[in-house]
Formats: sequence, structure tokens, C-alpha cells
Amino acid sequence: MRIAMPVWQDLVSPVFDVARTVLVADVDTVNGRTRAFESHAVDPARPATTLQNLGVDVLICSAISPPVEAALWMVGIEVVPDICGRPEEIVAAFLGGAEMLRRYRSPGSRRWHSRPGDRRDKEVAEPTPAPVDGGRR
Amino acid sequence: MVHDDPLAAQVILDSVADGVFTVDRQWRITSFNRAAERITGVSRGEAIGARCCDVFRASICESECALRQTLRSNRPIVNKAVYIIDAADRKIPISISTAILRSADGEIIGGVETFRDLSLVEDLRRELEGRYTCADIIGRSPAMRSVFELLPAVAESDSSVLIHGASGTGKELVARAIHNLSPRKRRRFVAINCGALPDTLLESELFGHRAGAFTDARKDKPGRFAVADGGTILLDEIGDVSPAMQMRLLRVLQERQIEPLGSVDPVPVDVRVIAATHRDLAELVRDGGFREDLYYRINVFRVELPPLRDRREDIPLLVDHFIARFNALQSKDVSGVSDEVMQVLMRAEFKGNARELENTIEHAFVLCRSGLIELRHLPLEIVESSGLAPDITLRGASLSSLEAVHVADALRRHQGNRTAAAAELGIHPTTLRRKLKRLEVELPPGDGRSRRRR
Repeated sequence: MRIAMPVWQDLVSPVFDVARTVLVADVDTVNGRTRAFESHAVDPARPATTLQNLGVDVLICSAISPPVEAALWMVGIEVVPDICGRPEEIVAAFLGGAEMLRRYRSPGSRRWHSRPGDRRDKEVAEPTPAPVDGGRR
Repeated sequence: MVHDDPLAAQVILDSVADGVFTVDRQWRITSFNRAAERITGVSRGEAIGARCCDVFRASICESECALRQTLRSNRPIVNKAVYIIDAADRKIPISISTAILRSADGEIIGGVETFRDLSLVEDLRRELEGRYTCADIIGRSPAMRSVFELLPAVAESDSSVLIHGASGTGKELVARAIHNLSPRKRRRFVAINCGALPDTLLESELFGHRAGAFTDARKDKPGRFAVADGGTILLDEIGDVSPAMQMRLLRVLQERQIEPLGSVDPVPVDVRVIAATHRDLAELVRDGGFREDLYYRINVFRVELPPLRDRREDIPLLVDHFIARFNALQSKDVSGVSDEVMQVLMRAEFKGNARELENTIEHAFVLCRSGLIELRHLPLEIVESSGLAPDITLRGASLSSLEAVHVADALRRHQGNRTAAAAELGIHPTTLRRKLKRLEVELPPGDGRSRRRR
């Protein structure tokens, strides 16, 4: 499986929409091992196409706007948003399961429950995709 | 001193309408006021101690962090326009200002950033400039979700698009969103209603003409294709164009060249074509009313816009959106609609789709100054089309409020022209004027009298 993360200063970029570089990791989900990390430039005008051409299966990122997220889902890339921290640690946490990954959730995230044990693990397992609602306030 | 007391300092910060946060030298948030909580959607408890970029999530964090620039240059930044993505994943336009924080002995201990939510200003500006993206199309229904999911990919490509949907479903809005999401967004978006013009005029409008091409053609005039060069053209109501015009459009799509009237030299154009129609073009092709080759040229991507009756779950969202918009445009304070009104709106027919719902809310704004929109503020035909029992629809409606509804309806039908409205109601214009005053009916925004004066 190929995982991509927008990176900046050895951290996950704050906003994927304007990220310039992604770190792509090939992971072995069966043995829980990461095989390789590679850095690639992102075309901000065509982020979905960039990741699709890189053969990415999952994007782990912090903030992402609903249209960009919809574009990624559209080309079959799963999005795990509202995650921040060091990419290597996050990949390890991703392989360790949702409970570990939740430790890297962004402050205030509505997609990851705030307190461990509040909800069933099943609910925590997958962050819900953003409602593509046009973002009206 | 007030600033020596952290509690007093927090009270002062919380009383400020703008968001304010401070960071230490490691970019960790050290204070976060109430407005910052409201604008970002992140609670103070979660923000304090976190890296500012993980909380603030601004478009400039990565490339040109304002605080970093201020600390580096020793100069404050004032009212820089950026956007953040809040905790609910909404894109919020804001303006930010920064300053350096120093200790009592002058040592730099961090920075302070203040920010203002510009959503309302941005909404109004967008309204004026017609800049729309996916985020302006309202809907959470499965039908609209599938449209949203399609748009970014459609925008990325350069292929022709056919938008099919009934009147009032937002075909032009979607076309603008595709343009604004596409690499062509910095060039012009040009829309033309092909069904509204006779062939000769349409040809001149689309392709332009040279001086002397026909009587009164004194100067060269560029056509809409030339104006949209490098950008996008929306050919609305393409199902209504004549066979001869279909042939000309086909040639433009095939050869990417236009021939202005009166010119013998073709002009190359680079325009993305979006066509829209309420007609079933496939059926028109079968009946021989539309060229099959043109149909296949424009039907590379097809976007199907559902009628409002097929996405009734979006009505509450749309109502909230229109109320917020009219509150901003008319400086009113309408808080929402009553339960009964929502019941009516959820059941009404809305043959004119979202546009008719918008008109309904606009009508209610004429009668309702503040508080909740009640049944008596709705147009009667909407209430009737909901099929609800008369005792529900008329509950709470006094004789004078029904009279006010009739008067406002007549005014709306005649675009605020009181003489015409009075004629329809069978009363003298002076009587209508007295009624307007007594019933406290506001004139529609563009009333007939003020328009004549301009």
C-alpha cells in the first residue's frame, strides 16, 4: 500500500491544498513494516492527478478543503484527515491501528473523537469523510 | 498593572471581537481568546500548548508564515488576507495582523497574531463579482454529493461539459464553479443564453463582426468566443439553437477557429466549452432536432443537476443560506423560519427549483423585518402548493396579514411598480399607497419608481 503525506519542516503540512511536497511511503500492511520513503513535488492545481500518478492509495494529512478531498475520493484515494505530527511516527501509528493514529489527531478535530474511551473503537476506526456540503456557514 | 494579572488580561482578550493568540519562541500557543475559539472551532484547552500551525491551519503557514516574517524582520504585518481551514473543515477567509511580544526587559519572548473573520465580506464580494466554486453550491443530499464529487475532476480536464437540469437548478453556478476550479480560472468566464437570441444576432454575439459586415456595423466587435479566449464559455440553452447555428458551433468545436461576420480569415481561439440545457438532447437527436455529431462533441462529461423535489433534504440548508444572504444584503435580522413554514417549504412543489425557493425567501423578507419568517410572510401559491390543510396554513394569519401578503405578491409580480400593482388589485394607486403604509409592507429592493429615476 502507498501512503502519501504532505510534509513541511519534518512535519505533516498544515494545509494539504497548498502543500508543495508529499512524502510517499510504501508500507507492508501484513507485516506492519515500511519499505521506503520518497519525496515528490505536488502540482497544487492538480493534486488529485499528482497523487493518482504516484499510485497513492491513502493520503494522511492535516487540513484539507472539501472540494480537494472530494477530488481525491473521486479518483479512489482514501483520505485520512486531521492528523499532525512527524510523518515517520504517523506511518507507524497508521500501521498500529486507529487507536494509535488517534494520538496524532489535530487539535479540535471533529472527525476524531476527543477522549479515548468515549466511543466504541469501531466508531473511531475510520474518520468520517467531510460532508461535501458546499461549506456554507 | 492590568497586564500583570493573567486573569484580567484574559478577560480583556476575550472581550475583543477579533481572534487573538500568542506563541512562544517554539511556536507553541500560549494564549487563545474566545473569538479565536469561535473562528477556528478549536477550544482554548486544545489550542494551548499546540503548535500554532496545527491549530491555525492557514494557507500561508507553510510558505510565508506572517509571525515568522515579523520575528525575522522586526516589522509588524497588518491586515494580510489569507484563509484558514477550521475544525469543521470549512475554508474561512480572514485578515491577519502580527506583532512581536517582548518581556519587560525587552527580550523577544514570542509573537501575537490577531485575525478577523471576513466570511461575510467575502460572500458579498463574491456575489458582486460572480466568483463561485463548489463551496457555493448548497447541498448535502446524495444527489448533490455525486455532483460535487464529479466537479473537481471535470474541472481538471479540458474537455467539453454538458450540464443538464431544469430551470433554476443552478446550471450557471455549476459552470462557474467548474471554471473557477480549472487551470483557466485566471481568464474570463463568459455566459450566453443561446435560446434568447435570433440566429443572426447570436452569430454576431458569438463570433463577432468586422466593420461594414452589415448596416450599422461601424466598428469591429469581438465575439464572446474571442472574449473568452484562454477561459471558458457557457452556451446556455444549447438545445434551443437552430440547425444552421448547430453546424457553425460544430465547426468551432472541431477546428478551434472562429470566423467573425464579414471576415474571410479564421481566428484561432482557445476556449473551453460548457453547454447547458433543460432539454433532453438525446431525445432531440433521435427526433432529428439536434445534430448527433455536435451532441457527442459537447457530451464528453455530463453533469446532471437534480430538481429540488429530488433533494428535499437540502431545503433547510438552502433556506439558511438564503436567509443569511438576504440579511447581509438588506441589513436585516431575520433569524430563521417557523416550524410551520419549514413544513410548508419541505412540501411545496417548487417547479422553479432553488431559484423559486430563493424568490420565496426574498418575498418573505419584504414582509418580515426581524425574528422568524411566519406563514403569513410566504406567497400564497407556495402555501397552497404544499397541500397542507387550510387550518394549518392560515393559523395565526389575521385578515390584515393576508391582505399584506396579497399586496406584496402583486408588487413582486410587477417588480415594485405600484401603478401596475394597483391596477391588478383593482384599487387606485393612492389607496395602494395608504395600504402599504398601514400594512407596513416594504417595497421590493428594485422598486419601479426608483428605477425610472436612475
